[in-house]
Formats: sequence, C-alpha cells, structure tokens
Amino acid sequence: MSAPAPRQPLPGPQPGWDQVERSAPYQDLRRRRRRFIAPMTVAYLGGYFGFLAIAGSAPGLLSGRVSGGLTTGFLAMAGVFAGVWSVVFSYLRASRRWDGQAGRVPGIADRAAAAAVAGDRRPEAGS
Amino acid sequence: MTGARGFAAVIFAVLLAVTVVLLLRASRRLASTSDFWAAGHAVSARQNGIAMSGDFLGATTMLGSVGLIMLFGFDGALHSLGWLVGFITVLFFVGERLRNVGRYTLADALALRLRERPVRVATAANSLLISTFLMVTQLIAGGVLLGALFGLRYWAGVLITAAGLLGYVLLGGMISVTWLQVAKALALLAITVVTAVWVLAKAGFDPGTLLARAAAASPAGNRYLQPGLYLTSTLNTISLGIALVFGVAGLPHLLMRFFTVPGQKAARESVGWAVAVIGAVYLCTIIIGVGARALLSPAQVTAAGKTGNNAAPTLVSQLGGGPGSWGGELFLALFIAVAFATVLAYVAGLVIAASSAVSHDVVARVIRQGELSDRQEIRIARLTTLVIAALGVGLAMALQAKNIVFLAGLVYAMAASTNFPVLVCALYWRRFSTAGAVAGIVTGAVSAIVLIVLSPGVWPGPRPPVSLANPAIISVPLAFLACALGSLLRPEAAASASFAQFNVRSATGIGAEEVAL
Repeated sequence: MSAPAPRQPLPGPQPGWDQVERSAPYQDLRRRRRRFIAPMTVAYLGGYFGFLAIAGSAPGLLSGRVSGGLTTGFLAMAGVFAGVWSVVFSYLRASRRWDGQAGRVPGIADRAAAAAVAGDRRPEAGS
Repeated sequence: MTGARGFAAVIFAVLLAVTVVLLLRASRRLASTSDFWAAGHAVSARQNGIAMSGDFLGATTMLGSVGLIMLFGFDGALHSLGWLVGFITVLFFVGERLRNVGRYTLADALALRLRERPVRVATAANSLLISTFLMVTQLIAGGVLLGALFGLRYWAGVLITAAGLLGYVLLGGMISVTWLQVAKALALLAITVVTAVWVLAKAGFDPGTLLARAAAASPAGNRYLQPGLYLTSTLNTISLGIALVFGVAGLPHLLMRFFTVPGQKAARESVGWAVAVIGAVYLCTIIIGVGARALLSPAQVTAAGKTGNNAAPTLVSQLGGGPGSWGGELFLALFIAVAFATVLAYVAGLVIAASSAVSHDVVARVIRQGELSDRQEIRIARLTTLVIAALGVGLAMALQAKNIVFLAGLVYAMAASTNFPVLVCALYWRRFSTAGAVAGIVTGAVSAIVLIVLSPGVWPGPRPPVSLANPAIISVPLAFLACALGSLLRPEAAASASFAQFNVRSATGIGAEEVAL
C-alpha cells in the first residue's frame, strides 16, 4: 500500500465547507447523532456520578442485604457494568443508521472535498 | 519448588520465542512512518479493539486493583469502575472523530485547525510527561514481578523489562506492538477468567456466599461490603471519578490506537471490542479480589503487602495447592509470566506514544518542518525510544517505593486536565484558538501537578496544604476555563474559519486516510 500524503494545516476560509456544513444531509446527520448522544451522555454521566454521590453521602442505600453477603451496592455495581455494555453496543447499532447518512454528504461535497484533499497534499508527498 | 521455577523459565522462553517470531515478521513489513506509528492504518477493528484493551490493562489491574479490592471490598471495586465508564466518553466524543482528522498523533489532528508549532510542542511535551509517568508505574511492576519469580534484584528486573520493550519497539514499531498487545490481552483475559471461575467454584458459584465469607474474614466485618472503607470523602471520590471518566479520553497511547484502523467504522467498533474485554477482566478482578479476602489466611493477607499488590499471585498459588506444591507453583509461574507480558506490552505501547510525541511532532514536524524522509523519521524515533526508556528506568529506580495504583490515578488526572479539554474544544468549538489550546494544556498540567504535590499522598510533611487526594475536580474545570479565556482573548480567524471543514470531516470521514482491507 502506498504511503498516504501528509496533511498541512488549512488556513483561511473554506467557502465550500461552509456550504457542506449547512447542507441538509450534513445537518440531518448531526441531528441524528445528537438525538442519540445527548440523552445517553446525561444517562451515563448522571448514572456514574450519581452512584459515586450515593456511595459517598448515603452509603446506607447501598448496604441492604439481598442474599448472603450480596448487598444492593454490589448489585448496583453489576448494573453499571451492564449499563456500560448496553450503552456501547446500542451506540454501535444506532451508528449504522447514520452511517448511510454520512455517505450522502460527500455527494454534495464532492468538489469541496476534492479541492481540500488536493490542498492537503504537498508536492513531494507520496514516497 | 525448583522444578516449578524451571517450568516458569520454560514458559518465559516459549513466550519470548513466540514474540521474537512475531517481531521478525513485523519488522519485515515495516517500510514507512505510517507503518511505524500507525501499523499502516491496516489493523482490523477486532484486533485493534483487543489491542486497545491491552493498552489499557496494565499490571495496575492485575496486581493493584485486585489488591485494593481485597483490602477495601466495595470501595476497591468502585475505584476501577470509572475506567470502564471512561470508554463511553472515548466512544461518543473522541475516538472516531479523531480517526477522521488525525494521522499518527493527537497533535496531527489539532494542527489541522490550529497553528502547528505551538500546538505540537505543547501537546508533545504533555504526552511525553503522561506516557513517561505511566511507563514508570509499569517498570516498577516489572522489577517487582521478576524479583518475585526469579529472585532477581529490583534494578535487574527493571533493566530486563526495559531491554525487552526496547526490542519490540525498535524492531517492529506499532505493528509489533499491536500484535504483542493482542496476544497479551487474550492471555490476560484467559488467566483472569480461569482464576475467577475457580474462586467462584470454591463458593459453590454463589456470589452471596463468597461475599459473606470475605466479610467474615475481613477485620472490617460487614463494612467490607459497604461504601466508606477507602473512599472516605464524597468530594475525593467524585474527583477521582472525574479523573478516570475523562482521563481515558486523554491518554496519548490509547488515542494513537485509533489511527491504526482503516476508518471511522473500525475505530468505533474497536471501542466495542475493548469495552467487552476490559469489562470482563474487571468483573473477574472483583471476584478475584473478594476471593483473595475470603480464601487467604490473615498471615497471607499481611504477606501481600500494605498495598495488596501481591494479593493475586498469592491467591493463585493458594488455589493451585499452596506454596511449595507443584500445582501452586505452576499456576503462580503462569500468572507471573502473563503479568510480565502485560507489563512489557503496556510499556511498549507507552514508549511508542512518547517517542511519537518527540520524533514525529517535535523533530520531524516542528524542527525539520516535514523535510525528513520516512527512513530518517524512523531512525530518529528509534533514537528517542532509547532515550525515553533510559529516562523511565532512571525514574523507576527513584520511585520504587511508590504505590502504583495511586501513581496511575494521578496520571489519569493529568490526562483529564490537559489532552481531554483541548481535544473536546478543538472538535466541538468553532471559536477555539491556538492560544486557547496552549493555555488549556499549560493550565491543566500546572494546576494538576501543583495540586498533586500539595496533596496528602505526595506532600512530605504531616499537614498537607491540600486535602484533595486527586486534583481532577479542580484542574479539569480550570483547564476548560483557560481554553475558553485564551480563545476569547486571542481569537484566531483562520482557526474559526477552518472549523466548518474540520467539523464536517471529523463527523463524516471525508478526506480521511481510508485504507481498503
């Protein structure tokens, strides 16, 4: 496989990209991602720090016995494991839906993308 | 006893032989900087995800976390939970976007929007700091492990560890490190699962029974099963939580992993694999830690040291039939061999990140401004690797007596207060500027280090000026504030103007270096 071209920083305004950013397919992609990520972020950060806060300030809530030495705290911890796994895997599943959407963006952005990628390449690149 | 020791040596030899074959194969494929830093962007999502879990699971997990759980029960287990949660942060906000706009290092992505020189120098210095300190924790563990297995002096153990990792990095770069990480992560997963199942079997596969026995054996009694034994202040607990949840997304060697895959989708899926493996290993460490408390005699618990670092080796030797027995010595030898491979692979990943910061970001990009050929850059990389390893060995000799889990927690606070805020601002804030990035990194690093030095764990005197054990709750917001102030006070038209492109490219992968597999 050939060595990829190094990139240079891209100074100055890029009018083509502004249009892509405002285009309907890109905005739609952004909305879909956000609709998933925003509530999930509230859930995972809230869940984790809520758990820490309860452990710190109301340990009694986590000390109830379920069976033998198993406490509600250890059950809640198992819940955090299950929660992390389910958040990660539901993201992987959900992202398949918006991947198709991302595929539509380059169609609109063909020219801007081609120009920018060409602009990335230094003349001597591609050893 | 000697027979079992001989067996341990055989395991080591086999391990070494396998990795040497891997190395030779890898070194033949090493042709460009892209191969050296990013394994040619051609690692599959599954391999990379497992390697990512390997990058993450160090001796800290195998020895340190088990020890904490054995000593402090619920709180010990709570301690490592934040690391797992931190992967959601990586997945949602950092991983795939970074893959889309970066090349080999974090600074490559930032340099796309911001002025290259100051940004590269600041992030490189910071990455070097973080990686070197993490490396020290692992070198300490390597020295201790080899001492336990072969009766070597600590310094000899550290030197052998360093020699091993140099071999991997110098010859094969990221390709050989990736293979090593995959092999090590699978071995680690296997041995922790076997140990955990064995422990559960001793309690009739009933976690309730196991926990009850552990509480009965613990001097804390029922409090062993409740919060409050180790993390005594809510503020400290939350501060530690911030360091762990956001620190994962700021680790240079972990971020580098995203550049080894062909594209965005593979970057995302690697996190899935990593979370699956890491979660399984963490669940097992909880069982092993609680099991160590339930099954070991009080004398053995004392022998595991004040930090509990020796809890897991003591437990596996006990499970196998006790010290001196063939089964016990064999299981112990196996466990230590895997732990040593863990240390070696983990440090190799760190050294790659540290030397990429120096040779790719600073020497090749800032000093020589991209005029180096691939061959020259790799040569400089190998030279830097030597220097960094020497630095790590020196520090490991000096810091021998420090608790490695504690040190690791502080390193995560550093990562959460520097790379994480800058990365988030660069990816999501249109008005972010070079001044903001430099201010954020400097403020985050300085405030974290100052707070750490003044904290109870490090301050030499009896009355530390700061009672906060982990600085993250202060240093992370301070770093974000500095990013904001720097950007607002010194706005940068070019950085704002390039945001549209950066934003679209990071979200869609347009123009990214995609590699067809």
